[in-house]
Amino acid sequence: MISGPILALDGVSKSYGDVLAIDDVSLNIAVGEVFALIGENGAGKSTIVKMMSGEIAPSRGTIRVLGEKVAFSSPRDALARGISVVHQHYALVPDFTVAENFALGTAPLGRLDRSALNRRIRTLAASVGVEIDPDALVGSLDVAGQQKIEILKALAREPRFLILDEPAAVLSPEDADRLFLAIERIRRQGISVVLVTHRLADVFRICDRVAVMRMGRLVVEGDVTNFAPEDLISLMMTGERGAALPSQPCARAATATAARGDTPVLQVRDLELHRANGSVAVRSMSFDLAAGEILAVAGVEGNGQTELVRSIAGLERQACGSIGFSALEGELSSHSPQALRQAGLAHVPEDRIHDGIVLTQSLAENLLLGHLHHPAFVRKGVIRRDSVVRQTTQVIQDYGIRTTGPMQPIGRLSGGNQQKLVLAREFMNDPCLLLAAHPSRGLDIRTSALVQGLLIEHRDRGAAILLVSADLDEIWAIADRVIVLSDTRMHGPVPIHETTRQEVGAWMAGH
Amino acid sequence: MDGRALNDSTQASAGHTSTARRLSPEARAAILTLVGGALALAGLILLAGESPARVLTLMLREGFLTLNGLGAAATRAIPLCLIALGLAASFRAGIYNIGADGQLAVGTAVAVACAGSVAGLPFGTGIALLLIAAMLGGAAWGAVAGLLKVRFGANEIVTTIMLNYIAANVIGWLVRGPIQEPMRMFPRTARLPEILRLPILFEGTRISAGLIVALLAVVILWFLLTRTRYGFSLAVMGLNSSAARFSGLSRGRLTGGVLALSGAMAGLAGIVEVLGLHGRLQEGFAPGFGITAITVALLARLNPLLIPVAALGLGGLYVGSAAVARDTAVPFPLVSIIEAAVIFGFLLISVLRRKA
Repeated sequence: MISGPILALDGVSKSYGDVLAIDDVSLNIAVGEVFALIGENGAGKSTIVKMMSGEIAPSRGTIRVLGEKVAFSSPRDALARGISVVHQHYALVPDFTVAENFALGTAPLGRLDRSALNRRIRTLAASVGVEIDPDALVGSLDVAGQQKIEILKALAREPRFLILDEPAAVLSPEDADRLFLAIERIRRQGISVVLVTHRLADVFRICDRVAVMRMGRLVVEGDVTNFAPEDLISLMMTGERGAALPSQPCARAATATAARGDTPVLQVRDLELHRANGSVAVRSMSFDLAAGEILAVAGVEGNGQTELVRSIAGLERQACGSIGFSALEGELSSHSPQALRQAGLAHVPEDRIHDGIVLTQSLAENLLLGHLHHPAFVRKGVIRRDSVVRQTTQVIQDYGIRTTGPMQPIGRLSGGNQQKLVLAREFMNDPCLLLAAHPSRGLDIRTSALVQGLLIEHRDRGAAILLVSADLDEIWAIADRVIVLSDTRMHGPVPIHETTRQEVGAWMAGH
Repeated sequence: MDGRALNDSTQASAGHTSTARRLSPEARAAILTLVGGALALAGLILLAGESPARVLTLMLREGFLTLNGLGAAATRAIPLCLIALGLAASFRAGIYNIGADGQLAVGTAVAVACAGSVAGLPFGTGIALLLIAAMLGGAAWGAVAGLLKVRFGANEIVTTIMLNYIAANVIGWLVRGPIQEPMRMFPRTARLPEILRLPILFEGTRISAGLIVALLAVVILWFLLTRTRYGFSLAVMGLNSSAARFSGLSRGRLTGGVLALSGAMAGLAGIVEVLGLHGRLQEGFAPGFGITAITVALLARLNPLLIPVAALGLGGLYVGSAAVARDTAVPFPLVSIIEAAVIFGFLLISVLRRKA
């Protein structure tokens, strides 16, 4: 019989240039255990998975499979050693049937023996207790159905070790229950499972052991029974257990309240939000956002924050409920994103490179983007280049952007300097409603402080700010009130000085 | 603080050196492509039983170095330039309009069908109305592809190619039916009245006032694409469509609009060709111009100011090849091979650039 860990990471590090993504991580995963790997976005979970599955090689340290040192040069090598991954994004052909998708990559070359294939799928499905119709078109299946195929495909390779990347994040509670039953059966077959997740409920449901990652390091590893949900939240956020979470009185609460107007800038009522794949992200949420306040939306990522911001920015339509914006008549979704922007809405998107800037264009052009109807920049449809360049030069000075000049392509700048330009652009013309999604994520301490200072400054000038953040320190430093999204529900809103980090942490954990 | 400044500057200088290093393989690849293409051409010419040197000198002389040749090249360059300007707008926006041929045909047919009703107007007015009619017709045909893309998500490359076939066959039917010449001899319309013809600019050449239309269009399109909100919006959509959406631009409107715009330019090219050169609509009067104009637009790197230069270059190649086909044993399709080599070279360079 096999003894010792099936997979062991020994002092593994991974660096990209000067950036250390993974710093000296050691993990042992035993045969037949379900192991949870948890952490915030950017904590290094996916880098660890990529090293386990042979997609990238560690810069230092060794990986052992059943005690034998291995150096994977591709996922194929890892597969040969019995390591299979079910990725968060499925690689399925919607116009093929379940069986045909199953055959892709697993069937040998030559004629497809359909009846044998169907039999094999049914056997595999029965072995983990799921039901699936091999002749169904994949395009007609829901997320849960598509996930089943990916899991069965992985099991068909007869792995000894199965990695599931965020498997439950997109599932309904009933489907998640079925998934957990399947995982239980997979474990009973002697297959070790690594569950990458940021849903704490999953950890306590089915995992034996848990490892917490934070900023590229392994914070702690141990039996799940040794931890309470609040411990894990605290470890994910601060790296320490139960420590450093005192509630701090909000010094600015009084001034903030004084600055508030009577009618809210943003009125959200009974909002139901769906993810792109159709699953429910938030069942129902209602809140008001007044002028001169910062309302923070906390929560583990993927609980509807993205969908909330996009609905308010007019980029997506909510499934149900209403959003009112005081600057415009009627329902917000009846206005175009352009009209919303002109009415005073500004948006710092969470994915800067993808949604916020055009990398190959200059700083000046990126500043112009988003102010294409500003009379100082565009008159009668013609761009006033001098004026744009002058304003950009001013912004470079005011925000301390490190660049060779307004005509430098923004892609050459560091992330922090790019973000400063985005903030400058969005804060121009004093917006009355600002949506800031993770505005300081990935920035160094000084730039983060600058970002937070700017948010406070504009709050005090009367802007209504919706701040989406996963960083409790940031929320406690600048927000006036906080709501938490977790497990399709909204908690709060509650004034910061009337709550504690423990309470918010418990909400985030789904209690 | 000082440490960071230092760090930033080292990064910047590292960026510069790698740019310098990046340029050389790109240049090498371009040269290799050209040399390879030239060698392949020489081989083909040898296969045809001619001396490559003689063919080359003949081609350059007839295409570029005689007044007659240059005149013929300029005549050919006028429609290419007009179409390529429209395509540049569309390609900048990341919309790949391959349907200029169809848009040209439909726009021209619409205008020619209107010719009878404007022939009585004073000189100039009729012509102007026909130019507008052709632009509207081309725009409408382009907008069909736009509608299919915005409404149903149909890929514009596929739909514009399909619409080319529809247009070609509709025109083929029109010139054999409703608008055929009274004699009913050839698949063409009757000759248009003299008052609707674009005057010839230079005695002894076939260069018409269409040249003025083309040069005006260069200036207008240059201004539109590089100096206005509209041109900027197109560029942003082409470079980062998601950022365009987040900044409030309507991608549907831009897509439909730019397909209509490039269709209008193709329609304009067609009517200028009819009013300036042929005097009537006949089947195959602009053979493959829409595809050649893609080469022109790409060669000019989508820069409106370079498009007339590229158009003249391809016009000269065309005229030179015609001379070669006339005076030697080398067949005319050679020019298509050269065109293909040019496109390959361009694509290769673009791919290398994206990788770097």
